[in-house]
Amino acid sequence: MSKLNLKGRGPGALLSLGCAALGVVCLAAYCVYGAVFDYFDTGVCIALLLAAACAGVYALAEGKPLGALNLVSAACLSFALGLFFLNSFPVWADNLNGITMYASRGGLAPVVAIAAVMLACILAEIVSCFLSRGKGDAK
Amino acid sequence: MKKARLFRGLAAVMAFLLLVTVAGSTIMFENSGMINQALNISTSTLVNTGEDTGANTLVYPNEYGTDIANKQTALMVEMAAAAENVTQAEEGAVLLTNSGGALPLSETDRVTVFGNGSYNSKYNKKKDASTVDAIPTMTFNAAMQKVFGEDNVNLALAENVYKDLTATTNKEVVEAPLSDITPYEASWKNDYNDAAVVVLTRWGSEDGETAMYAADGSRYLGLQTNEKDLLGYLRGLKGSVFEKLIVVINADQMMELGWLDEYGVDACVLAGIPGTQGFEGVANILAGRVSPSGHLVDTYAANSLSAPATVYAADNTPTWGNADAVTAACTDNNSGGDQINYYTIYAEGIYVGYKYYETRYEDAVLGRGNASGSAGSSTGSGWSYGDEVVFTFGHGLSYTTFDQELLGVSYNADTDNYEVQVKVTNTGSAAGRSVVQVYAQTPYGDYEKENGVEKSAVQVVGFEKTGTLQPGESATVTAEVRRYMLASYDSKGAAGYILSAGDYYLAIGDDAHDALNNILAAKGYTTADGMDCDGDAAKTHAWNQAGLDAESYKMSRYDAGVEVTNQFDFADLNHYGVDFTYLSRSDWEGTYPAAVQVVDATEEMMAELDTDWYETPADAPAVSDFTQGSDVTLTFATMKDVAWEDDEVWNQFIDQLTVADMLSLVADSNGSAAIERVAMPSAARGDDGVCIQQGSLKATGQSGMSWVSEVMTARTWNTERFEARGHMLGVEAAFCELNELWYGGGNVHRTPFGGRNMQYYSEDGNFGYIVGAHEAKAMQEVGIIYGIKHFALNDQEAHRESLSTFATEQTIRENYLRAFEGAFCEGGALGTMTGFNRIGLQYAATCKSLLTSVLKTEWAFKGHVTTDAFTASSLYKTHYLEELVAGIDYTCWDSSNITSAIQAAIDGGDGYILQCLRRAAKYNVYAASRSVSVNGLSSSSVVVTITPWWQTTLVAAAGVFAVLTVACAACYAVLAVKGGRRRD
Repeated sequence: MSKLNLKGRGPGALLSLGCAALGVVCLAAYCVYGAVFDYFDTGVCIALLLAAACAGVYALAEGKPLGALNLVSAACLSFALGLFFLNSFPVWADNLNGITMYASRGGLAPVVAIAAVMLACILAEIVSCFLSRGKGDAK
Repeated sequence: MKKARLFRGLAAVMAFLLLVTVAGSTIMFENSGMINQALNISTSTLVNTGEDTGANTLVYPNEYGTDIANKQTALMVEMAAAAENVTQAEEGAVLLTNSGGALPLSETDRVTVFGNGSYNSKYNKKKDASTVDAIPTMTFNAAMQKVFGEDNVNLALAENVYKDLTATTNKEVVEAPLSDITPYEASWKNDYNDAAVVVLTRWGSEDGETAMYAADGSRYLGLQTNEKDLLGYLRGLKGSVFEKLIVVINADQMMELGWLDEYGVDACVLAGIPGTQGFEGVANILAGRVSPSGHLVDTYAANSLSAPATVYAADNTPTWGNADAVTAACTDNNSGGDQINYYTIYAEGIYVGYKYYETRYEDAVLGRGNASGSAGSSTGSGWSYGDEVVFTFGHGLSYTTFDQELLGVSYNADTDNYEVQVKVTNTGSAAGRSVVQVYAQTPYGDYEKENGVEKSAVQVVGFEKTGTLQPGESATVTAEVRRYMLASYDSKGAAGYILSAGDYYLAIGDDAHDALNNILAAKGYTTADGMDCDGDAAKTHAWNQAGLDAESYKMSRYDAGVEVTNQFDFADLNHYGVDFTYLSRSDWEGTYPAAVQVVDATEEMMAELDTDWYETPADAPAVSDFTQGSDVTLTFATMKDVAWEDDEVWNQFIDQLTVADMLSLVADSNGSAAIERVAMPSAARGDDGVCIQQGSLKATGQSGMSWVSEVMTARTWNTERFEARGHMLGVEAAFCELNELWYGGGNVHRTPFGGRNMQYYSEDGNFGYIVGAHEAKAMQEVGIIYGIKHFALNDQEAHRESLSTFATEQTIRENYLRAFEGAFCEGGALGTMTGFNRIGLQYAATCKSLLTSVLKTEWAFKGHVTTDAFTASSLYKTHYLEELVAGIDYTCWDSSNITSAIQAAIDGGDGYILQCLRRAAKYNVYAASRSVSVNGLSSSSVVVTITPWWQTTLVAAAGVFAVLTVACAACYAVLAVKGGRRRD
């Protein structure tokens, strides 16, 4: 049986927990950004949600089959970042060219900020994959 | 680190790299054409089997040959382009004033240069630096030093003050405060004071409409505080320190120049935006190495806001009165954005630029139409020409003087042209070139008033420039005048072009105003009647036409089987029940657009804004009615000799193409892919006419020459220069391995604020017609498709995306379509790009009336039409089937969206869409087969597609990352399971 417990968690689990928290922040920021500038993409949203959930479960729950969840989380985050980047192409194109041609909404700042948080999440989760989850983790 | 965790971590890294690579590849593949051109990569190559050795396959030669990879040859091309640019500047710079013969200066004069524009000059669109290493940018200061001598030009301010400033933008004029300048006055107090040369700059750019007002509330195109201080300071030194005060205008936006006398300016030269080489030509003029011969192609008003066209334009562009309702109701609202909410009304009708000022002047003299009322007056009192206009259309001085004698006018029925013979004599003491400008006045009588046919008091209808005439030398020139330009579009009465009944005048003159005064003189008017100058009736030719002629141009000039009739009723606001009055000379006071009329979009209008009109016609053919992918018997090369009208052969060729082949031509990524089956090479397209971008010289990888602005070329009033520009840019394009140049263009300088005025010919439709005809002809002759843009009514950059544009049919045809018509119908241009705007409420790329009824039918255009830059996030651009049906042949920068939509429609059994796709294929192949794409192709040539190395690399990288991701994940899984078992 799996149970939620921080006791005896290794650095990988703690890092993943941080990633989960950051993922939730990222998800919230993305939802606000998507709503304000009408760039909401369900795919990004689901990927971020999955990533945060996997990271959180990986950090808090025990059980051998859950040892791959931070890997799944990293993949989901990478997918979310890739899709977010594709969707934000008009914003990059308009802002970097200094003209209005791609009907972009909003400036680069929120895009860069969200992308940076996503990237930080990914890096944290990747590092977490290399570290021990604690008791019961793979050797 | 334990093995399982190592593989889990590696799997995470690989998954990240895989997804980043996939995302990046998606964008890069979508924009592959741009990347290929940036990396100088060709995507197809020819293999000649040798079966027809000896056949001349060089269909479109140029004087530099075909070895485009040869650096030396490419450099020769660029050097020739540079030399042409200097010539263009010498002929295109305009001497606006020259009191007491202040210019030319002596080459030994020692001068001081003032003005931030002298250092932070404007060259053209985006290329402020030379793109050719071997040909560095000729800055204004460098040009002055080259011509006057390095030691004769005082650059103290450039070196100490201006170098720390930024350049003027389209919103802010950057000029040093006087307190920063006076500390260096020792450098000119006792030396370098033969002349003070002041350079002033204004700017506009793509998506960068010039501001109407500066931050301090003053008019942006007027003098700004620091400029006033500088000029006031120099005025104070004139006589005591400086002998002369010379002003150079480095701008194509029409500055307010009524202050020249106030500040004691001795001479003013309009340098325009001279590219990276043109300042040398300007310096040559200042030094008298050449006599100026340029003339204005725009009106320079005392008040840049005094033209009626400014009421609904630029910063004044209004939004719907019920904008919120429009945003809520329309699905094309750009996801809640506001771009759908802007509209402009060409309330001024045909009265743009000089047509407004000169017509109102005539009516003021004649005392009719309430022309002297206060509406539109800059002074607040009665309207007076002298208060409003500083320099009119056609104005331009020389270092010598000329006498022009009208020898006669004859009509040539074969060409339908009038031939105006003029004897020109150089009556001054310097060599120079003169321009014979021909203007027309056509009748404005009761019929015209009743039917709302407006008439400009003068309109330019022809011109001819002499060669260099030595003092005392004479030459006789003949200027051709197209009779068609004397016709007016009558949308209410005849629903076609008419030649009005009444008196016609052709007049020569030094400018539009002079010509009008000559016409008024022929009518018997003098200064006693209120004219500001007596005219010369001998410079006019008049005749009377007894009756209205609605037949001469009833049928298309280009296809006698096509009747010319109304096509743009929907572009008139009154069509939607809005009570709107356009400016009419019948009542200036009562019809002047004194204030913006806020319009509420009706439900009908909102429905039109959404552009969802396509339905498969009831009589549509079935998909199975067409054969696609039949055996190849005709190659692309053979089609270059097949006439457009030969439907049988064209259908046979198109039958050979698969739907995928045809779709590859509709897609665009700065070009199209090769179709190997019919040996059609890939094509590359670049942008644009002031400097080739999105393309680079194959030999060097660098962009083409940064040219003098289009309007500067127009100011030469020399058809040889127009053709030289078209030719040299065509050669440059060929050396960039392009087959088409998206070329601005035919839009009109409707106001002084047009952000891209520098790219467009002039404020006049007829003038644009002539420039385009010559440029297009010369470019097409070297096998480069002249892709003139932005068709049509895309005359402002402010809110350019989705801007609804309302105008009368007469206005659309005579002012705005006319400026494109010459390039298509006389120049043989085989390409065009639509605008971002709407014609009325219809997105230009879905406007069937514009693209099919007028362009492809009435004008018999045989080239291909592209949208402007596509993006799926601009929802109004995503009506793919409507675009195809309306007459779009390919979509700029869209390599997948439109093709998916068309494919889906065909898969769904829509034979009409397949029919339209076949039609687009014909236009695409016809245009390409009349370009350099056929050079080197024989009937036995084979075209082989080359996959760019970066695409191979990306695909390989994605594959490797995918494999590694799976492998690492598998290793992790195995080790994790094993570890688990051991623990168990």
